[in-house]
Amino acid sequence: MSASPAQYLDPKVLARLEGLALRARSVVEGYVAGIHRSPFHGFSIEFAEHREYAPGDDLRYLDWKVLARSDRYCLKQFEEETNLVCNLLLDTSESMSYRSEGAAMSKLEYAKCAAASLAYLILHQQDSVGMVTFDREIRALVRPSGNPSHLKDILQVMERSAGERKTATGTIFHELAERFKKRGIAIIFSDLLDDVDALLAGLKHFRHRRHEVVLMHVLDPAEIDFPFDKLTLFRGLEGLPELLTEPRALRKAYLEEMQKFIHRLKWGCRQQRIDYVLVRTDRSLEIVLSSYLASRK
Amino acid sequence: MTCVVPALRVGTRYPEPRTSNAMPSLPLAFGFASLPMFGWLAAAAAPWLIHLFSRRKYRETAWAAMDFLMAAVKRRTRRIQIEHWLLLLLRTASIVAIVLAVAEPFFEHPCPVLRPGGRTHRVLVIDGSYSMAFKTGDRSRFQQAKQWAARIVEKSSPGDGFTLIEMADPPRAIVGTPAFEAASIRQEIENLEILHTSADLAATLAEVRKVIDTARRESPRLVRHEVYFVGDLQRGTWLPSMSDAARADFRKRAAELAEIADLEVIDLGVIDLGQGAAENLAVTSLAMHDPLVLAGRSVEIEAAVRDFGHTARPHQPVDLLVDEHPAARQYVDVPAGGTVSVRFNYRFETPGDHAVEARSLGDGLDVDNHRYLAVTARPAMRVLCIDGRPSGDPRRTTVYNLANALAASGSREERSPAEIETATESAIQERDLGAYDCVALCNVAQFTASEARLLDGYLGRGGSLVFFLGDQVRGDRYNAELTGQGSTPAILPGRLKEIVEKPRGSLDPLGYRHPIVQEFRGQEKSGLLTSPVTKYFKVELATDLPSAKRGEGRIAAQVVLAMHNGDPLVVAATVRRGRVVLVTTSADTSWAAMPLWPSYLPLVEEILAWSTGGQATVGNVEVGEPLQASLRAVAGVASVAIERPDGRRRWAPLESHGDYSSWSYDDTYHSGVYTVHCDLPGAAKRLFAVNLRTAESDLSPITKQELQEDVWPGISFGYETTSPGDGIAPSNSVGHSSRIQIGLLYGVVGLLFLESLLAWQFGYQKT
Repeated sequence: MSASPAQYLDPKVLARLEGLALRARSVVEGYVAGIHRSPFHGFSIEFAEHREYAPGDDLRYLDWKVLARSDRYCLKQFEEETNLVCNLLLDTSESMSYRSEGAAMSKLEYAKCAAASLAYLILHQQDSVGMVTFDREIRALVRPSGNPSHLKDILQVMERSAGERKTATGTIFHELAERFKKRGIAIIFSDLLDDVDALLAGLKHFRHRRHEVVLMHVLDPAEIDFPFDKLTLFRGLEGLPELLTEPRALRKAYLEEMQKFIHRLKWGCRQQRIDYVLVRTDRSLEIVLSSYLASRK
Repeated sequence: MTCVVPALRVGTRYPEPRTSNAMPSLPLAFGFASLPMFGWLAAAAAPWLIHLFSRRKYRETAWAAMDFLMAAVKRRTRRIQIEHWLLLLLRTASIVAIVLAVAEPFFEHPCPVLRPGGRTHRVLVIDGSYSMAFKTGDRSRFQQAKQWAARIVEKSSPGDGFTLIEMADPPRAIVGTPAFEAASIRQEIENLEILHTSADLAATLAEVRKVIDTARRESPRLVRHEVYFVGDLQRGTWLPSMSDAARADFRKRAAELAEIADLEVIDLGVIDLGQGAAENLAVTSLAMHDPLVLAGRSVEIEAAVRDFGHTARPHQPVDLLVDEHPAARQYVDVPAGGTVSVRFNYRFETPGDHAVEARSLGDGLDVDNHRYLAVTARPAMRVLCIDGRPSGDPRRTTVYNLANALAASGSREERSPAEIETATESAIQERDLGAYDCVALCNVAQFTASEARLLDGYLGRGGSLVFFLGDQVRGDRYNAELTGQGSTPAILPGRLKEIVEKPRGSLDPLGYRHPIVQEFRGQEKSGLLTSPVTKYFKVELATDLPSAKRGEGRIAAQVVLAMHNGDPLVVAATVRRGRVVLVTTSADTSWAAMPLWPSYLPLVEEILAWSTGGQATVGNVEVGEPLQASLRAVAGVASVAIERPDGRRRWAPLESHGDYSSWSYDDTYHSGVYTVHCDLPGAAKRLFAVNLRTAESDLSPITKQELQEDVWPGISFGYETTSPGDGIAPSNSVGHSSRIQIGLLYGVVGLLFLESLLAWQFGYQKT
């Protein structure tokens, strides 16, 4: 099965994203000079700061002017501009396959489109992008690369991903935080229907490793609004039991539970300076992405 | 289905009029009028079936956020179950309430307020007597009564039956069998007309009983009966003077009626308190002073005006109208509760029938301010003397003395000579007897059947016959043809028996009671009592005859003058619409010397005056009495047209009796002048005056206490009235048949509203 770019890359979406470069808000470790700031200071044209001279420092960077004026030994330091390394984390668990009647596509399909669009954008701005698909374990991992042909590999991985199993985001995030040696951006596409505490702990691990994290919380409109009005048999995904109930009587309680869940996620993300983006699958993808990218400028 | 629940004592709706023993503490019975409707109770299972069925019909969907759903279920399971049960109970209760409502529940309890159900038969008795025409403002009591009755119908439940009786004399069952369409009964009430009669309460109760018996027999589903008497509770109607036995019988009938029906009296009479309710003025009589009216001669007309209240009426105008044109006006002072007479002199210029009306000034009750008199003005008095023994010498004829005496009579005041014609027996068949005011039959030997029929027809038209007997008279033939033994009804006031000769003693005037001899009172020197009679026929009076006892003769005979031994010498009788005088001796001097006596002429004059006096009253009757007359039979004329006082025209068929025809019209419940038109060639219109029985003009009502203690003592009944100015405001005495139903239906509405509200609150409604 060959991946077709057109399957996940909507020209209209890409056109809308043109010019909206994914600029790393915090410092990332790049390995090719680019438009993003690097934590490694060195030779560059953009001055960063002075520091006291220490024995062994390269005297080429000694600021003679300061020495002449103040008789102090200061070294000039410059910021190094480097390429962005972005890892796209795609939840491919069974719950992501849910699609209500009011949505144009399932959560997984929506997340794939969003991930593909961002991958295209990142590669287009000469940065590196990688891809991880996971459920209760890592199913596929594409290492970051800035090669334009790398997009094809990413699309192929997404093509092979079908929501079938349970998810365990907390464990996965811990594992990935350890795997990503180079600091960069981790963009997570998931419905996050998992243990919130474990999930937040995993995200915290990312932050501990100095990764910038963007949490794309993908939810179906039915999961947010719960519009059912007739007696309904709900068949639980990911091995959860069935439930025959009168949804009108439960709507209020369900919405309260859902709002509480979203609120906990938002609160946890805010504490760890993680971007939280609630994505409804009935909303236009181009608007969702462009709005978020514009907010990062 | 009727279940008896423990006794419940409740308050009475009418504490004042009800006697204490009229409210026994009876068991409260509860039942339903439409038991088949209970089949619909099965529908109460519908919400449960729908609930169970809906549990088998559901949609399926995969669901990712199952944890949240499970958490919601865990939080609300118990509450959801309670909400489900509550909604199901509300829906079931709604259906049960609807079924109970259509099953028409009712209570059986003596208190009317708590008797709200069952199919009810309501007997509406509306007082139609003319006192109900009394007006307060622009509305009469009768209009108010009709509005009350219409409101009773309006407030009743569907399925109730109605009958309508107009209380009059006699009472009229307008709707005698229960009618179930409210619109039609309202139309009947609207069409009801006031009658110019009094009201007979006893007869009305009998009519009500008859109507209820009919309803129980023909409409058994009407489980309850209510009788509403709507009227002015006039004393003359509700508390008439009657014997103790009659009163006891009346109360017994009322008590029997109260056992099978609820009696309700709606008093419209008290609304006029303070407005002179009992004040009323009426013209109580109108009569000619002289029974014979001749054209061109002045006559005296006398009217009586009576005040029925407690206020004197000075300078009260009284108008005389002749043929609807004002003829004279006089002013009288009417004392409180008194009567005054008013006399008018009037001259009828043209012969024929004339309508005379006496009219007093209008008051609240206008109908009795008028009184009418139909007067026939004759060109002259015409008398036909039939001589049974004619002779070439007029002095030797039987009728010679009589004709001379008659010629000297006529109008009492002006002594105008009568037109006397003498003829033989054949004239009975050859001449039109209707052209004569009086026919004197002197010493006629016998009458044939056809002659008897002609004489009967003449009497039927108000004619006057005077029989003088004699030696030629065959008593057996008289008895055979003139006493009702043959095909002809009785004409003679008595049966002729043997001839009595040489009686002894003077004549007996019998106290001068009869009008014929009243003029002789105190005039003993006139010789009336000493008139010598040598022979006479002994007579057995008609009242003693077998036919009269059977009520077939319709003869009211009265002895005017008797022999010393008590045998009748002069007998007077009213026969049909005419008058008959039988003189048992001869008209000439063969059997008596009376013609030679000075008292003969005034006696003949009085006989003529009295016998023709019936013609003056033949066209004057009281309300309810039939109008009757006879006509000469003419081929091709089948009916006469009667123009009523209200302008409506009716027809009365002619009944043939051989040589003459008669008609009768009995719908005379409205006072006024009735004009009769006949298509006979040359026949003029005839006028009839129908007048009130003015006892009804006394408007004083009975009180509630009298109703309770004197009219219906010990009988349970309801009493309602309205205060002045309230207008029509029937209280809650009616309409209670639907009270429970309405309550249940309101309950249904409330339950449905509550169900919707709770369903919305519980989240079972679409948002």
